[in-house]
Amino acid sequence: MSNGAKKVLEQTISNVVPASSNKWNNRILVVEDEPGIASSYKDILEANSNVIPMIRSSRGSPQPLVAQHQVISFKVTVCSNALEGLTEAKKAFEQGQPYALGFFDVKLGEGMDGIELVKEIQKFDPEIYAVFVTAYNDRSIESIHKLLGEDKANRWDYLNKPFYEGEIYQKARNFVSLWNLQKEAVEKNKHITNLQKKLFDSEKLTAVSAVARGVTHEFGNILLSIMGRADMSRNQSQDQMNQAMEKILEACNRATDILDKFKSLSEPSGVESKKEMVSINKIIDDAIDLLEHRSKVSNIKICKIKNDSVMANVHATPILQVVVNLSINAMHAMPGSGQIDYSLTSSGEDFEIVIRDYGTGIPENLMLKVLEPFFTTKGKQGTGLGLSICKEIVEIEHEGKFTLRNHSVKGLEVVISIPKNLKG
Amino acid sequence: MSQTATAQKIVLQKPNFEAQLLVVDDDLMVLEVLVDYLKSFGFTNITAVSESKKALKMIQDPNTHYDLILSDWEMPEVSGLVILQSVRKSDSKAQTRFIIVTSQQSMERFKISRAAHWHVNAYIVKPFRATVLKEKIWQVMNWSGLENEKKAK
Repeated sequence: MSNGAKKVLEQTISNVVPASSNKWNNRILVVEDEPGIASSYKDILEANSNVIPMIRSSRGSPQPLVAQHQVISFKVTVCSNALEGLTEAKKAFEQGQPYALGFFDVKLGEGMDGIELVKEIQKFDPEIYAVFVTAYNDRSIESIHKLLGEDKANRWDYLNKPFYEGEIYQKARNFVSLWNLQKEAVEKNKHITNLQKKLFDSEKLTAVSAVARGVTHEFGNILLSIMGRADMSRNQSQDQMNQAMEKILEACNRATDILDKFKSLSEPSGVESKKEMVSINKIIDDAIDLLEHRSKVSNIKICKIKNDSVMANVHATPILQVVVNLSINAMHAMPGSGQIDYSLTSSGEDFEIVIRDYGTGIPENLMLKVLEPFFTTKGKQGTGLGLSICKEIVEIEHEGKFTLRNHSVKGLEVVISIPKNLKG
Repeated sequence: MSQTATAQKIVLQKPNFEAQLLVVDDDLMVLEVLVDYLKSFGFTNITAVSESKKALKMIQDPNTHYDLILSDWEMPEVSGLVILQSVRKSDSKAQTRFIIVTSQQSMERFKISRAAHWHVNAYIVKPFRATVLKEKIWQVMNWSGLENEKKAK
C-alpha cells in the first residue's frame, strides 16, 4: 500500500469506526501451530491498552497509526492446525459471523499449509483477508499469487517472523477496517441501485401518465365509434350491417395499434430487455403517434426534417421513452403553440436523432445543470430526472452521446448519437 | 326526467325535430357516429363541423341560430370551453343549450367547475349509446316523450 493510500485509509478509518461500531466486524482468526506465538497474537490484539502501535516506516520517523484516542480491540480465535482452522472459519461463516481477517502460519505441520488453507476458506468466504506469516521463505510471493489467483490478489498480505507487535496490530487494523468499509460500500451501493431503479420507474410513470391522457381520449372515441355503429345498425339491412361491421373493425384496428404502442412504452424496466435490430424511424413515428393527441391539443406542429432509413441494435423501449420524454419536454417549452422538428440521420457507424423545439432554449449557465438529477424548472410537475435518465439511457446503455445546445436562431436542440451495431 | 321538470317547474314541450343542431368534434369517426345518432332520433337540421375554429366563426356569425350545440372538449386550436364561452358571451346565442361530449380523463374537477361557471347544460362521457344521448338532449331541451321510451343503457 502506498503512503498516500495509507493516509486515506487511516482518515477513513477514524471517520467510520465510531459510526458503525455496533456492526463492526472485529473477528480475527489465527492459525498457528506454535503455542507460544499463538498466545502472543492474543496478547497483542486483544489487549485493550492505550499503547499506540507505531508504523515501522522504512523512511522517516515513526508516526502514530491513527488518532490517539482510537484503539480498536479485536476478538481473536486461535486454531492450532489447518483442519481446525477450516472448520472454525466455516462454522463462523455459516453462523453469519465471518472473520474479517486471518493470520496464517505458512508451515502447519501435516496436511495443508496456510496458503492452501486460505484457498479452501476463500471458496465459501471470498471476502476474508489473509496475512501469511512465515519464518522462512517457504513460498515465494509469486507462488502464493499463482495459487490464490488474480481475483484474490488484493485479499492477502504477508509478514516475516519474527514480527513486531506493531506490525501485527497495524495489519489487523488496516485489513479489519478495509473489510468493514467494503461491506458498508457494498450495502450503500445496493441501496443506491434500488433507489435509482425506483426513481427510474417513477420517471417512466410520468411519461406514461402524460401519454395516458391521450390514450384515454382516443379510446373513448374509438369505443364510441364501435358502440355507435353497432347501435345504429341493429335491425338494418344486411348491406348496412356489413358496412357498419367494416367501420367497427377499422376502429378495432386503431385501438389495437394504440394499445401496442402504449404497452411498449410502459414495459417495466425490471425485465432485462435485449438489444434488438429495430427501425429507428418506427420508434420516432411511434413516439409521435403516442403524443399525437397531446400535440394536437397543445397546438404543436410536428415536422420531420430529415428521415434517413436507419436500422440499429438498441433497447427499443428505452429509446422510445427517451424520444417521448424529450418530446414532452419540448412541448412544455412552448406553452400555447409551437413546433417540434425531428431529424434522423445515418452517418457511418452511428445514427443521430435531433429533436428541436422553438421555445426559449436553456440559459447557457444552466446548460450543464439541467442534466443533473433532481434539477427541475417545472416545480412540482417534474421530478427533475427526465433529462438525466435520457442521458443515462443514451450514454450508459447505448454508449452514445447526449448533447443539448441552443439553436442559433431559436429553441433547444437535443442531439442523440448512438452506434448502430452495439453488441450486447 | 319528471323530477327535473318538477324541480324547475317547467312544463315539458313537444320535441322539435326541426331544431337547429350544431355538432363539433375533431375526430371524424366520432362526428359521424354523433350525426348518425341524431338522425336516428329524427332530427333533420344537423350541422357537423370537425374544425373547432370554423365552429367558432359560425357561432360568432349573428345570422346563424342554433337550438342545441354538442361539442367535444379537447380539440386543437379552439377547445370546447372556448366554444362554450363564446356562446354564452354572444347576445343572440346566450340561451343556446350546450352539451359537452368528453372522455373520462378530461373530466377533471377544475374543468367541470369551469364549464359549470359558463353554464353548460349537460356532460356526456364517451363512449355512450344512442339512448343515453337522447335522454340528455330531451332533458336539456325540456322535451316530453321520453317516459314512453325503453330505458336501455
